[in-house]
Amino acid sequence: MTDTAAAAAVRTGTEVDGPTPDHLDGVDLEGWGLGSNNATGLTNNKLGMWLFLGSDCLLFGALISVYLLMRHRGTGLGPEDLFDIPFTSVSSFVLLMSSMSMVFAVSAIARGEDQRLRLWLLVTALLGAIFIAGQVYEFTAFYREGLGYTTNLFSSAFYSLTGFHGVHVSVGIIMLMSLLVLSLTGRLKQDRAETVEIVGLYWHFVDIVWVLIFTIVYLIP
Amino acid sequence: MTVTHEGSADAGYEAATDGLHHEHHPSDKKYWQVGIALGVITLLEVSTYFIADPPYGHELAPLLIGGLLVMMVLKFIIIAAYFMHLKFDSRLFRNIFAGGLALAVGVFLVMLTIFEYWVDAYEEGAHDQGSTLVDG
Repeated sequence: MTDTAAAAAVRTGTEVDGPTPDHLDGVDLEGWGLGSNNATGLTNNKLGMWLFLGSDCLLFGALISVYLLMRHRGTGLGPEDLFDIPFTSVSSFVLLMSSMSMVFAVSAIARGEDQRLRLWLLVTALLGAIFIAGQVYEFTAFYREGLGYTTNLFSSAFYSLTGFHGVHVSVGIIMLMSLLVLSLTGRLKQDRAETVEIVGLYWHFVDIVWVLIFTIVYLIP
Repeated sequence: MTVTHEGSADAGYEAATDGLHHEHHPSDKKYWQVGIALGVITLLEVSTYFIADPPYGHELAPLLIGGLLVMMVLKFIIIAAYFMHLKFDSRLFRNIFAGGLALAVGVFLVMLTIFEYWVDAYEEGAHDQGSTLVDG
């Protein structure tokens, strides 16, 4: 079929058998989720990530609720005896800034700037690692003060909530480093910008969960 | 391959890819503005610690705790809207996330009510208690 015939068929809404019309050449239809399930006009990968994040709200909702119920039910050490608000504030600010660097990474790959993408991915991963290091330091300090995981109901609820968040951040760092390796080996180009955006969604979700934890657990003890 | 299009080729292509590309995402300048706003809100949050720690028992307690909760929600919305692009992306994503969030908040508000959290919280505030309340 000639291009002219294909274009005419396309304009009239009739079926076209044969090669893809020229105007779709170079468009990665499968990469955009077309061809598998495009009823929503959205990509399956991104839709899947949003469904995961929506369900993850329930996990953190449960952990925060349990913490609220348990924080004053127990003897011995409690939040007022342990929390170092200035230190945790710095950690929170670091995680907030990592969200900034993540959006710059997404912008960089959308513009096809590979060097900037790598830089911002690395910065985001490093800021995430600093946050985790702060959490490890905090847990260690609390443990030395005598607050183990099973010391009282407060400690179990606190370590479960902040620990699960820390695991989420750690998984995010692994994702970021994987993207960095993919970029360095030339397997992450502009046409896969959505992959970086999806990892970014996860990273921002981890950040907004910490926004809740920082206020509910630390600032309103 | 079989391809079916309605209307013109260009219109069909644009319809097929509308919402898949991200031309409406904010500029880097906008991201900086949002980041600075989030930083300022965080500073305000932390400043409440230096006014009253813990805020219970302080004469400004309702104002401080209310302010902290408002700032928390504000940060949440700003990050979701701008950094997660919910303001610019498909409404379906917004509905999925808001649905999960609403379900979580609803279920756990009921749970907190069943376990009489609000009664305990009121009593703690009224008695200005510390960390050693043992009431089952």
